[in-house]
Amino acid sequence: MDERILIEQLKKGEETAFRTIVEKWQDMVYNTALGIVQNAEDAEDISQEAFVQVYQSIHSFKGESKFSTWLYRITIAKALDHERRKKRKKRFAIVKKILGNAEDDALLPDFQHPGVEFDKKENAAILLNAIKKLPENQRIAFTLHKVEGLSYQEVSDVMKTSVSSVESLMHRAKGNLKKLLENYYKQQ
Amino acid sequence: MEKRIEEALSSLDGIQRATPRPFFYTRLMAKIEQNEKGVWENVSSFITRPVMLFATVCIVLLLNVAVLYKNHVSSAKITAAEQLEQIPNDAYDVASNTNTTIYNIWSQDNEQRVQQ
Repeated sequence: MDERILIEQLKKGEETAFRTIVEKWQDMVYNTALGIVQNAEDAEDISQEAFVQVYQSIHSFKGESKFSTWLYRITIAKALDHERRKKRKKRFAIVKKILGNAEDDALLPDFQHPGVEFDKKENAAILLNAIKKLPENQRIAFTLHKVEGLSYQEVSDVMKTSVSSVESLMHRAKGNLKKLLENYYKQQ
Repeated sequence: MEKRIEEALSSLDGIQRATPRPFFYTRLMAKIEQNEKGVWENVSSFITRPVMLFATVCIVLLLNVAVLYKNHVSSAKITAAEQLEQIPNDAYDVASNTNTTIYNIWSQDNEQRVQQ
């Protein structure tokens, strides 16, 4: 069904339209959230939150961008909010304070993305762990391009920036990742 | 080292999209329903918080004090106004007395002239 018709139906409050939208875009939303937060449970929560926002604020979608672009922005915003909340909680966790092992945890590559080919899983876990340490903009650009497979043009639409800015972000992200990986392998 | 880094950097090539657990839509609708119920629960829990109750009591007390103060000020004004009202009357009385006195003097004067 046409995207615009679905959105018009959802604006009228038709639940079947919402169901179709969820089924059509749930993988995209979940995979994006998972790429950012690198935790299956959190990614599920973020995906739900993103669709709840779609359900509640579909009237604010004016069709100036593609629906998927709007949905990507919602998902990224929710994922980043979720991360900030989690970091705040961690900061105040007494146990963490006593043990003081937050940095050590961050060094261990513990997340396995289910979509990675079997023989690349170990390397991918190390790379994903390094991605977590990138500055926010570089991390979003790299995740959208590498994990979601978006083109630079699509990434620039989502991030509301130019293609050249995305190219620059990707270049810096790769440079930083090389340094992080180098440090990781040196410590091994 | 360089080779390992390159291998790691290219490890996400050909990645497949991860999918959520089955029945995602069912769980989502349950969350939406829960959120809708939660709004009223949040409102009621917000109203019944001890801080809110204490604040309400304080506001009621403040309103009472304000009303009492206002009544006190207005009654004081009324007393002052009554006093002010009495002054012209007294003045009038004085004036009327004076007039009468003048009249009396005048009439006494006349009577004396008539008698003469």
